[in-house]
Amino acid sequence: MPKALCLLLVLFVALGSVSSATPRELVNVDYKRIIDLYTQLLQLEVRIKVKNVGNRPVTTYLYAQPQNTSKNVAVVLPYEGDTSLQIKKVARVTEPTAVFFEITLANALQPGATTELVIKETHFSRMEPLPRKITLFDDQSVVLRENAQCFSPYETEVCTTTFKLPMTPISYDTVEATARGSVVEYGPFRQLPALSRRFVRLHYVSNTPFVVFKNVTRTVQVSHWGNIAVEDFLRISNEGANLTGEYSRVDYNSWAKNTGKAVLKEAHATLPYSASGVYYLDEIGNISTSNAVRDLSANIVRLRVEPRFHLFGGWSANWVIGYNLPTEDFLRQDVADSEQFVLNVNFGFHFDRIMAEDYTLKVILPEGAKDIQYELPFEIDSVTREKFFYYLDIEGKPVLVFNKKNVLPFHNQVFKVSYRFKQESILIEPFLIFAAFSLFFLLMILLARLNFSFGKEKED
Amino acid sequence: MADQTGTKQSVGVFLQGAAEKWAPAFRMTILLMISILAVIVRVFSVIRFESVIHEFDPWFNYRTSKYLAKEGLYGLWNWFDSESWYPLGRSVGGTVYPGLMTTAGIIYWGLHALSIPVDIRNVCVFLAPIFAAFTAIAAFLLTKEITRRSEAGLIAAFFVAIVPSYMSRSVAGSYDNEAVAIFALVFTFYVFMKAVNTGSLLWGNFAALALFYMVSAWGGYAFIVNIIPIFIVAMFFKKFLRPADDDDLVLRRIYVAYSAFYVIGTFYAMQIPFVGFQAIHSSEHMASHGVFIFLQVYMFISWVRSFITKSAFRMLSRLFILTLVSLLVLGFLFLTFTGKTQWSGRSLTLLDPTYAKKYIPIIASVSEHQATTWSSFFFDLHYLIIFTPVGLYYCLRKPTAAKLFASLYVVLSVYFASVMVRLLLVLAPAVSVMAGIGVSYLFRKFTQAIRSSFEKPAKDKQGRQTTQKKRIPPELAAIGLIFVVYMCSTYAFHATNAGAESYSHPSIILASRDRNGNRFIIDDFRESYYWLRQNTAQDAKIMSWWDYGYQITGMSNRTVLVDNNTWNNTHIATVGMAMSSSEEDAYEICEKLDVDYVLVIFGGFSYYSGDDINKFLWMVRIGGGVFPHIKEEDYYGRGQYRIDQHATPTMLNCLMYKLCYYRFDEVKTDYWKPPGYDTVRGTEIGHKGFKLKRFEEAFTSERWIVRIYKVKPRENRDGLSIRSRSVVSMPEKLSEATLGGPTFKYHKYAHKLTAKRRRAL
Repeated sequence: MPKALCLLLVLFVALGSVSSATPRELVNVDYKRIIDLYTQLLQLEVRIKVKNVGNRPVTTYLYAQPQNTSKNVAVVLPYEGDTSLQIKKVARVTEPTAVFFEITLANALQPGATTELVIKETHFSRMEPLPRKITLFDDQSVVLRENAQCFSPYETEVCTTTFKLPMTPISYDTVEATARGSVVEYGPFRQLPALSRRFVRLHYVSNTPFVVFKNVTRTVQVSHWGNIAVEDFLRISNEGANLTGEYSRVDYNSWAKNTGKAVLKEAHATLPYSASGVYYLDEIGNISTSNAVRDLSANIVRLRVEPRFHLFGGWSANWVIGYNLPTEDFLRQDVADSEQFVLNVNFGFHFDRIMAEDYTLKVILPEGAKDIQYELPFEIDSVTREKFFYYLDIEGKPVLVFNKKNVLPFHNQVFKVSYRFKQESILIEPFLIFAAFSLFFLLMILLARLNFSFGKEKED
Repeated sequence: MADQTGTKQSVGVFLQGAAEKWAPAFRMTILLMISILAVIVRVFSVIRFESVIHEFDPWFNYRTSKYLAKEGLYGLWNWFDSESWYPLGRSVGGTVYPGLMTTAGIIYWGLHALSIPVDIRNVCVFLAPIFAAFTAIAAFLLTKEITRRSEAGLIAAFFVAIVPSYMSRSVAGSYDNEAVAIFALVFTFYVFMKAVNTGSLLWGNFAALALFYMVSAWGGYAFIVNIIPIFIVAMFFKKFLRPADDDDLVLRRIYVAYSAFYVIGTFYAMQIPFVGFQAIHSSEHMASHGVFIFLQVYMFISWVRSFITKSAFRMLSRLFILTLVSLLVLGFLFLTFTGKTQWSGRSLTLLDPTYAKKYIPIIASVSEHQATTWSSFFFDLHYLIIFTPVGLYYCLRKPTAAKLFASLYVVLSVYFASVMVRLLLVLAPAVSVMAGIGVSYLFRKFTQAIRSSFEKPAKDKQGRQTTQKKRIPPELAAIGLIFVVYMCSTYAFHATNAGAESYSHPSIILASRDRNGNRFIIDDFRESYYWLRQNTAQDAKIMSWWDYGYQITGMSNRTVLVDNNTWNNTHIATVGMAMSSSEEDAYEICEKLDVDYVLVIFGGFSYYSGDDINKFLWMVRIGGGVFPHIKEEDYYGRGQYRIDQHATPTMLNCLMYKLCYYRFDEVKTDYWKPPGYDTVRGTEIGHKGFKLKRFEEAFTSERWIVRIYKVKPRENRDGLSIRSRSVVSMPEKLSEATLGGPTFKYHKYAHKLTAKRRRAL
């Protein structure tokens, strides 16, 4: 009996936490979903006209995702007009098939008033290649299963879902669908109840290479001698349809455009403008197919890298890309307190349109840095601290290790690491070398002046 | 006037005093600069390409070093490498000279202990240049020990630091045994000379230690264990032919030095698992045993001599020496004929240059085992070969033990270098030392002549002019001096140029220029090796010719059938047979050997001449050596090796041909030429439009240099009832396999038999 009571209490509390926007008070007047399928990442834009039909102002909006696809969502970004809104995940035990987010509105929505919300989502690994194996000449086609209705905890008056495909689809669910060229539209569905869903299946040709970084480790090493060394280890993999049959150099080459269409031939990255000494290699040495251009107008360095071999479906490769940054642009010294430093570097890596499944960022601070604080613009999975021993380190450099799953170009934002460091202590290591050499020479002088022989000193 | 000469003289005295005072400092500075030069002249390869391991053998050494750095010395000792010589494997610890890897490992661990975390690859890449600097210092010491003149030592150090022949094997990235072995060689000679000159037991021990390092680093240590006995025998000859006062003293010193060197050195040599008891019973070591016994006997006789009469002694000694020499020769002959002691194939090739060609094609097939051409002598040694005779003249004019040794070293290594290109490397320090002595001698003579022309003729106490020694006329001396300096500087330019242009190519990376003159990198090897590493199963077996074995295991981390170790001729011959058999037969061999991929190197598309088609005859020869149904004649069309329409059907249908030229006839390599035009052979291929049934193209690099084929699995019910017996069925006795006769007769007729059975079915 007390157990059930407890459960009830928990339920009540859980419900109470979202009581500010019970499904009764809000109604989606118009719910438009536009799904962009041009790349291997699914870009979903939801435009919702919300109306307050209750009798008190509402400050939050509940946003829902189906449970089965929510694990493939990397980012959810709500906007109201141009302002981005606060969002946080909330637990609701009543609906096990859904995941809920609570969006805090910019202004409280008065009774009877309407507002428009825009929610942008990026999904990964939603499409599956079909057929799973293709030859050199085939197009890569994929299958997507996606909700064509609106999955919202509120009732919806009008709902449409638009799929933008790269080409005319091979097949799609035709019920209540209209297709114009490469655009397939479902709906409008009218007067939908809460959490309504109807999964449709689309089969279409997509010749974007379905590449993903399985593993990215970035090391940012700060030296107070004036350099920040950045090095990325990237394991890239093409997860599209695997190559079957013959790989023929006669058929697949630089001038034959109709073979190997879904192949990763090159990747583009943008580095900070002051990056210098860029290198690109793997376990067995330099990869000689890359170039970097310092773009004055855009204030960046454009890096174009080509893998050693073009990545067909099912193939993978490891890359190491590194460069140096000057500390002037990224490391700030406190005006008042000369021992206080703030490091501002980007969290993510630099490849546009490619996601990292497992991302680790290691910030290596100089030996002797204390009171290390950090500030991140978004949530991450874990932060640990460790030591790193580099040239002539005695106690090791402090390292902050950030770990996050599913990192997108969106996460390439500036974050801050602040620490205290005595600027003079950079002289310890040169002094060590100096001392070692002095000791060596002193020893040699001493040895040269000692006579170990038993007999008389020989005359030369 | 008198005052002026006085000041002149005082200035001269002052200068001389200052020079004498500062000479050691100058010497050290110059030697340091030579060492730095030796290092920086070798890093062209890193600047022009990258810090990467070069060529073939270094890849194995690098892989072993990585293993050593991770697992420690005992780990290496016990390492059974299952990635090579599939399915046999290789016990690395017992079949490797561990000196190089251990050196790299010690540097690696030492730096890490000093908290300098260097990468093992960089240690390996830069080991050879650093040891080149050590070699320069060792050459300085050796030359100084020989001539007792440090200026000769400095010139020799300068010569050896940049001699192209040595540079070819010690540029940054050339991580091979020779990189440390040449240092060990020169240093052992230096320490041994020191032992001979001092007659000290301690230096004899040091010489044994130096030998130990040499033995651990390179099979070429046999050179040392033979040249030193030869030198001792030569000293005896000298004693009888040109006796000198101090002969007995020198011989006694040699006795002390050699006894310590031999006993402890042999004992040390046995500690290397790869050498082991070979240090006792192999033919390479026989001379050292013989000379040791001979020395003992000789010293015993000398000792006896002091107790008996001269005539009795003469008779006794003759008897003794005669019996001893005949006993030694007889014993050696007995051991040789009964097979107790054996020369290794490479040593026999040295003694009889035609040996390998006749009996061991696998040794003859290696380009660096070919006889040296005159042009490569000049390219690799340049003007040193002109200065060397001068040094030899100087050394043999008044030979001391050390000078005689140096002369012997030069003469013997000239012979070895003529037999094998590779052994130019042993000659290079010898010639540098000798040329250093020669140039220093020339300098001394010329400058003496010039100086004496300024000095007043010296007068003796009676005021008469002393009879002047015959000197070179000063004008001639000046011209000669300029000429020598010019030649030395030309040598320096040539050496730098050779180092930068010829010897700094990693050979796994090729550089070329496009029509606008821009340099671009051809990276086909690494492209394909990396493809293997990333996109094949972890336990995939790659069949390729043995040249690429080390690179595949090193860069692709995959299992290979044969590699550059070439320890098992039969296994290599099996791969050779597979390559030279028809597709169907080769497929069966591949199946028997669990081959997943076949890798061939093909240069016909992009002018790369060191490819498998050019090496193919060696595969046929080596394969045919063990499996007689492969006949070299079958691959000659109209009397010569060719790939065009006149080639024989055997050639046009063999696996190597098919894998290299598969679909090659569909591309045009040259605008003016027909499709399928091979740019290396300069002909159109003879077999076009064929399909592969058993193999499937899995990868071909951008410029076609590397082609990888997948061995297709059998189709359902394919060959089930037909081939129940094995093609490569192993006989019960191993001796039959080496004879090759009965085993493969079956194979010879197998296809006919199968055809019959197929028809019957």
